Amino acid sequence: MKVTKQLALDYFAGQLLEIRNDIKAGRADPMQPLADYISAFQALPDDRLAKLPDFVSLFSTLCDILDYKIQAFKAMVFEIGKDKLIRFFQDPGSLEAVTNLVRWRETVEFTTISRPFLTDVLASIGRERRPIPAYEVIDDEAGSVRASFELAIDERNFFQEKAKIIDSLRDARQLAGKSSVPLGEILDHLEIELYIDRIKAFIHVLHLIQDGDLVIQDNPDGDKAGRPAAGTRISLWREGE
Amino acid sequence: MNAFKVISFMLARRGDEIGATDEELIKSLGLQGKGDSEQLYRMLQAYSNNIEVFGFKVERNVLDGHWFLACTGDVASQARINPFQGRTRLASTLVAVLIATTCDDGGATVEQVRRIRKIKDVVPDLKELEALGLVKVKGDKISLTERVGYYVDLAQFMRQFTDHVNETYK
Repeated sequence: MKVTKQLALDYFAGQLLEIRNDIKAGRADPMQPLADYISAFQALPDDRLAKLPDFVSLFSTLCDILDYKIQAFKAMVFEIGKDKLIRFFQDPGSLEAVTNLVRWRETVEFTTISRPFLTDVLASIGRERRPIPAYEVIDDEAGSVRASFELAIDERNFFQEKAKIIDSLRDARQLAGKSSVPLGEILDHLEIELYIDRIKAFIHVLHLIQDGDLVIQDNPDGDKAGRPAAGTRISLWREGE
Repeated sequence: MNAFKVISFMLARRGDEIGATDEELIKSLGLQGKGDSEQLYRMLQAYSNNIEVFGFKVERNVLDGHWFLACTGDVASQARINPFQGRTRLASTLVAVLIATTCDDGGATVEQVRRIRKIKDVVPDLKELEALGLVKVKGDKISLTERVGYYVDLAQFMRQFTDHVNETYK
């Protein structure tokens, strides 16, 4: 029977081999960072004693992968001919074009968020209005202890702003009656009417869905797991629905 | 505190320290011991699957090994995420530094960036980028810091840049 250490090594070797084969077959990008697997290697049992052939095979796989990575990096740099680069640098609009291509990302910041909150939102998506205590979450491990949950945005409290946001959405022409709109239109509205930054507005929308004030419309294009499709439409919950 | 709550808190840290490293997550989640990394990755995967539906994803800054929370592409475009909103010139200068770093083995210089930007003076922009912690300027030499990895996926940028130049200047 194999000991745990050997099983861990086998698992790691298997993972690496799979990556190498995927890269070789063109199914994986050789430029993907390997840091996860290197960390996994560091985490192998302390003495790292194993049968020599296993380590040789593992090391060989790792070398192959590194070789693919180096080749891919070199190819990327040499893929641009010198003449093309000269023309790029001479072109007056070249930098703007490249800047427009960049997909910037920004870190998301919540200081207090919880799994109960997320699961509650998930449970209420596409269902009937189901009021949920908006700012109380139960700590899974502590059982009966209730923790206060507040989402502070720019030192303003969402729950104090909620009424203003809902009033504004009720007055929105595009959300009249049972009309539904894509997420983007709601973000536009909150940005234009209430000057709320779009990413913060998105967090507001999540809370309004959680509270049942906004309803995600059933979308036949959603996936089997019930996840909404990209074109999901949202409507305002109104009395009597 | 449950595990997902801990992960959310750690990944959403933003200040001098953004997100969390493997070691910090392992310690916070009390996973020290055999197979801790593997357990952590499984947890991060489960967490990532749970938050995906809300438009969030777990990303890793390969430059400093920190995991952090970001928005998925759909939400990012809907929310028009751009850390340089209203400061287009800073974005352009940072892209110029990225291009200069990519195209020259010797690294980026102030003069190179000025030429790529096609403006008289880039020093004020570089000072602002330095204040944001994105670049370091030493004499004429400019180097990127690890913080850049939170703003842009560098491997993706290089790929896009290569494709763009090859397509545009056939």
